[in-house]
Amino acid sequence: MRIERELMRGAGPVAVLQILAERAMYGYELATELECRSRGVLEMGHSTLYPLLYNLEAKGWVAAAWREARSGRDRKYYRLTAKGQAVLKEQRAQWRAVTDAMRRLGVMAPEPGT
Amino acid sequence: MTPKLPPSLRELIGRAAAGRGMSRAERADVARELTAHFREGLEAGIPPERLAEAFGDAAAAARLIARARRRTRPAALRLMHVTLKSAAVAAVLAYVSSAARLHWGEPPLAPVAERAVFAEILAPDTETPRTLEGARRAFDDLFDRLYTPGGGRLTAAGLRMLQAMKGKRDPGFRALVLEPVYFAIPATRSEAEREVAELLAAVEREIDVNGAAAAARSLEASWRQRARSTVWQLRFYPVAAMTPEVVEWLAGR
Repeated sequence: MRIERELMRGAGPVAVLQILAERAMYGYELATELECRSRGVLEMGHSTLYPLLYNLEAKGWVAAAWREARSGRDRKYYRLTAKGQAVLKEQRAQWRAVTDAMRRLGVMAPEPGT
Repeated sequence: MTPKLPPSLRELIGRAAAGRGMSRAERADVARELTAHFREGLEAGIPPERLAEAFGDAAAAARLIARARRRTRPAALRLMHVTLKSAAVAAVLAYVSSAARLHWGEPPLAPVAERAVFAEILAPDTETPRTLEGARRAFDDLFDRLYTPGGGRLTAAGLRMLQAMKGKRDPGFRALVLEPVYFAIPATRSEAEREVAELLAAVEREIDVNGAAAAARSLEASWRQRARSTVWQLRFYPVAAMTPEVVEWLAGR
């Protein structure tokens, strides 16, 4: 399913921050991870992913550094900063509030067991 | 082994990293990252066409990447860029406005490319006494051929005549391009008239007491003093260019 651009604009950065909260990743790895774990729902054109990463870097939410992988390959790794962690915490709470509200409105099915 | 990128992907990287306003180092960094990205994909066995498709529109990427990269710059660097850009825009606008001012409008008297016009007014014949009134009349006539009526702006047509009077015909391309820079802030006709009045008033007494030759020396000294300033020479170009003629005439050379 294709997610509308506006919705993706809000969800994309949170999804990227969430994945980077687990460990530092390079662009291609992040794109693959995003696609697999969201089962393709949050798949974004890679041309969108890199500007998104640069924007997060500009805001100081992620930091980037070139590192040589064990394979000898040059990779630019992105990791979440302390500021990014705080933002992610705040955004998680906001998303929780939104999804709860959507459930109450019947837009989303209620969570099993509720 | 590092797979070599196919030309289609190299071209895509080139376009995506060519966004406007990025420094060479920023472009190189983006290209390096995208190269690494596509190498990962090729090594994972994904064909180049699929990688290009997954990447999306390179032109849109270039715009987004350039905008995002500009944001990652330190505030001081961004301020410097904005300042330089504004200065460049201001310089272009100043040049265009100066060129337009110079080339728009005509003097009331048709410019004639004859040195003789000035000289003839100064000395219509050998019998005419050398008085400062003659010099004033000559400048007046000259100004009618250089400046527009009313506002008294120096015109390109007037400049051509002045240059022809100095023996320079058909100005070169470089001179034409630089003209609006040199004459960006020319004095108006009334300012030039005041300058002439001041120059001549200073030697008025000299001509009565010590004669025309002494007045010529005095006028030359005043002119030399003023002409030390390049700004004065450019602002009052007609006065700066023609005062030596008056000096010559007063001296009877």
